[in-house]
Amino acid sequence: MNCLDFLDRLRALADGTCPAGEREDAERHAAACDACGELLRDARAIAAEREAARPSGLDEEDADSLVGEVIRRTTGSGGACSRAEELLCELLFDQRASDVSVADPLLAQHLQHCASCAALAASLSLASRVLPTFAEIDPGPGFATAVFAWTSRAAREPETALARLAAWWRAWMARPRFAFELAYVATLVLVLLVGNPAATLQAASARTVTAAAAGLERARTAWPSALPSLEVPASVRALGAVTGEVLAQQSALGQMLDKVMRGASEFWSSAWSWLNGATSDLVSRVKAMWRTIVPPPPQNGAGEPGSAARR
Amino acid sequence: MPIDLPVLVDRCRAGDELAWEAFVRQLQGRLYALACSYVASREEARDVAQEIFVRLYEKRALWPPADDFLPWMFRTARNLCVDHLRRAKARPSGADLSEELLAHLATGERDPESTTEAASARVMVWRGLKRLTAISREIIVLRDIQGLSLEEVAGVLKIPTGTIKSRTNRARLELARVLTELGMRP
Repeated sequence: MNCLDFLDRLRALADGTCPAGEREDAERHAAACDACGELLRDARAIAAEREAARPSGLDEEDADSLVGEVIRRTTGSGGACSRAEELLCELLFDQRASDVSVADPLLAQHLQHCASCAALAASLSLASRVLPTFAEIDPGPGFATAVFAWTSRAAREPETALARLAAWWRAWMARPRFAFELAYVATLVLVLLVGNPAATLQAASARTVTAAAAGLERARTAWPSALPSLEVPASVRALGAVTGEVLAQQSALGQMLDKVMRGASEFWSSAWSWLNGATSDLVSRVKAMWRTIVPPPPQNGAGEPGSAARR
Repeated sequence: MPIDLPVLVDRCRAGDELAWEAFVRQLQGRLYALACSYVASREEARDVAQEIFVRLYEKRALWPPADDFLPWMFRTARNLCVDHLRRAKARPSGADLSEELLAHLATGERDPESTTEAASARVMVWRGLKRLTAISREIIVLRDIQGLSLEEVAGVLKIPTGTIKSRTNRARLELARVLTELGMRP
C-alpha cells in the first residue's frame, strides 16, 4: 500500500468502518511511514472527540429532542425562551444592536433552534427600527401659524377672574360625569325637601294651592265688583279636583309609610333589647361554666410570679 | 437648525416671543406625534396638539427647569389627550383608525424616498401599536418612540420605576406578537 491508497482509506480507518484486510495493510503502512502514521493518529483523535461530544447511539435529530427533553425537565420549556425574550428586548431596544447573533452567540444559537423566538426576534427587530420614526410626525402646513394665532390672542387678552371662572365652569360641565352628578344632587335635594314625612316642604304644593284658593275667595268676598272675571273655569276646577285627589293619595301614602317606619322601628327596638338580654344571659352562663372549670387563684399570692423565690 | 432645548425653555420662561415661536416649530412634530398615538384622526390630533401648545403657553411662567422640562411637557400633553378622550366619551383608540392618518404615516414625510416596503412596515407597526392595551401603548410611545428614560416614563405615568421596567419589555413583546399575528416580516 502506498501513501495515496492510505489517504483514500484514512476516514474509514479513523471511524472504524474499514474492512479487516485493508485495515491491516493500512496499519502496516502507517507503522512504516511516519507521515501517514501521524495522520492516522490525528484522525483517530478527532473521531474520538466527535464521538465523545455526541450522545452515543443518537443522530442529530435525536440529539435535539434529547436537549429539548432535558431542558423541559430542568429549567422548564419556557426558561430559555423567557431569557431570550428579555435579551432580545435589551439588545434591540436598549443597546440598539444591529445584529443580535453577533451581540450574543448563545442567543443566536437559541434562535437557530426555536422557531417561535426567531419569529419574535424578527418582529422585535422590525419594531425597534420603525418605532423611532414615529417620534415626529409633520402636522402639515399652517399648524404653527394656528398655534401662534391662539397664543397671541391669549397674550393680548389678559385673563380676568371672571374669565377664569367661566373657563373652569365650562371645563367642569364638559366632564362626562357632570350629568350624573347633577342628577344625583337634584334627587337628594328633592328627597330632603319634599320626599320624607319630616320634610319642611312636605305637601307644600297642596298647601300652596289651598292658600291660593283661600286668598282668592277672600278677595272675591272683599271686592265682589272688582273681580268679576275671576271665575275659575270648569277645566281648571276639574284639574284642581284631580290634583287634590292626587295630593290626598300622596298624603295617605305618606301616612302609610310613616306607619311602616314606626312599625319597623318598634320591631328593631324589641329585637335589640331581646338580643341584649340573650347576650348578657349567655355571657353570665359562660362565666359560671368557666368558674367551674378553672378555680379562682389563691388569695395569698402563691400564684404570682416570683412568689416562690420570695418564700 | 434646531436650537438647544434648555436655551429655548429658559427664554420662553422669561417671556421671549421669538423663543416661543422657535419652540413651537421645533416641538410641533413631537407633540403632534404624541397626540396621534392617542386619537384616531389627523384633525383630532391637530386640535389636541394645538390645545397642548396653548396650555403650555398659558403656563410658561411655571415651566420647570430645562432638565425636567421634557417629562413635564409629556405629562401635561398626556393629561390633555386623556381629557380629550374622556370628553369624546372615551372612544377606544384603534377602533376608528383613520385611513387618512395611516396614509399620512405611509408617506413618511420625513423620508420622502422611503420605499413602498418601508411605508407598509410603518403602517403595520402603527396598526400593531393601536392594537395594544392602553398602558402598553403609552409606555412604548414614551420610552421607545419619544426616548424618555425609565424614570421619566415612571414620572409621566405616575407608576413606580420597577413596574415600568418590567412592563416595558412586556409591552415590546406584546407588540412583537401582534406584529407576528399581522404577518409582519422584515
